[in-house]
Amino acid sequence: MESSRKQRWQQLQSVFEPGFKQMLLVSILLHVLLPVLYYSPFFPKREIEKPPVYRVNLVNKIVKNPQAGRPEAAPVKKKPAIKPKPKPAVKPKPIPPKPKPVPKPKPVPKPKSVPKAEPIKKKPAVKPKPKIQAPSKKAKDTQADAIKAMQAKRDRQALIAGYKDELIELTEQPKSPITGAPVGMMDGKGDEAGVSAIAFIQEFIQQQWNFSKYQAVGNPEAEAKLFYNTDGTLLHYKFIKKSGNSAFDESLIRAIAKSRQLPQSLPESMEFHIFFNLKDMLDNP
Amino acid sequence: MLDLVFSAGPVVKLVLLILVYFSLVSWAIIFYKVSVIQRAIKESDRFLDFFWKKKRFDLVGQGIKEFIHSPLATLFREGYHEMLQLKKKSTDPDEPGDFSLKMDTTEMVGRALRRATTQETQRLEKYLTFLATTGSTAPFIGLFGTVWGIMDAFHGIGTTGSASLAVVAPGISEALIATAIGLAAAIPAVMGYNHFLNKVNILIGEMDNFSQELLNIVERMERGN
Repeated sequence: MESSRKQRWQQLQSVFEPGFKQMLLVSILLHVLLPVLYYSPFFPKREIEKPPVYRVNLVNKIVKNPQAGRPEAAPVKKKPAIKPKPKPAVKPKPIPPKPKPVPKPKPVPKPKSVPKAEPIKKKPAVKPKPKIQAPSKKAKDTQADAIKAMQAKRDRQALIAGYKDELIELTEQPKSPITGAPVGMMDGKGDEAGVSAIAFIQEFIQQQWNFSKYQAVGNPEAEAKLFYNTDGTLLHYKFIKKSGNSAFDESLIRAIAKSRQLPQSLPESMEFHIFFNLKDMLDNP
Repeated sequence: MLDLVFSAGPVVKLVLLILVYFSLVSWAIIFYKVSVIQRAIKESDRFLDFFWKKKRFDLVGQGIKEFIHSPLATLFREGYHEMLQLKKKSTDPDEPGDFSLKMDTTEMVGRALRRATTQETQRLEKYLTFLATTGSTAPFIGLFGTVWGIMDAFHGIGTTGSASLAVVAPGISEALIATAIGLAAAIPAVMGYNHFLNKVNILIGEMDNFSQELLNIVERMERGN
């Protein structure tokens, strides 16, 4: 009995009770089995579907009459508010009464200046009247001075009105939803969103152009006409004026030959009149 | 998954090793305790049937070897052994008479039963403390690994100077695996601990009941004598 008690005490103090080592082996096996099962084909795995990736080349649409603005900006819907607003400013109503005073001041020495006064607003209709009453010879010089001053004033007013119209038009340009920039060309004056066709072709030809600046003598300039199809194929071209520098002319011919096919189609079959200036081309590679 | 483990930093790897050790031993204890406690409950049931069928202690004592895993059988063996010792002493002519007269059989057997109950409780509860330790510390150890991993990740972000998701996400993912493994080790340990503690408490209750029954029988026998 004493020995059995001692045995029990030893059993309590021992790290491993009988049978515990086997269970430890079972546990190790289980832990090894888990990753094996996880990587086995029996274990269903959630496959993450990758979202489709669309690769697109963002190109500027070639148009015939581009709007003013940045060509890189995304095109937007056409201006809805431009037309109604400028109308009252651009078309002043007083224009119809103007022709009336025109025939009357015939005796006045300078009739040429009268048509220029057309864009002037309300006031001009009233002023010509005194001119009719003052054809006397004494007052000729003073009248001429007054007319000159008046014309200068009208010109200034017309200029200011023109600037105002331009300013209104610029501020009323359609804005890109992303950048807030207007769409088109910097010098564009048309109503289409995109890049000017002629600017695009000139740029494209220049990209194909290869000329060493060491061959450059003076500032040769050539002028050419190019006819492109709707799909952007060069139908034919001709030089209106050659530069006289054979190296430059040949380089232009090579560049035009390389530009036989444009990367984009055109809105319609078009004829382009392009000036090639060596200095400009070298300055803007 | 394994890529995350292998690409983790040395501290996180050490934490993962500790957690794997905790998990291994916890599962070994769970398997071991399942077998020990199940056997103890089954054999105790069988022993109780056997005990009440046999009307005599000597007959029960002869068949007790079949129930080596039952704590109730151990209790009986201890109590019976104590009774035999007392009887032997009372009939032994060499023993001093005064001493044998003073001995209270019920009390002596009761003490033997209490001692046996304590021993059996200790045996049944052995290793359960490890489960409790795993259950309470493994999540914290995992969390430590995660915090360390995230610290490393942020240090990396500071060094590269980029805070994009592609730079931040792998580091945090590596770090989080420590918490995941900590929880994976702790959850079964806590569940096992609670389950086994409940079973051990049931067995302790059974042992107390059986001790009382046995003492009653001993007392009746003593008074009958």
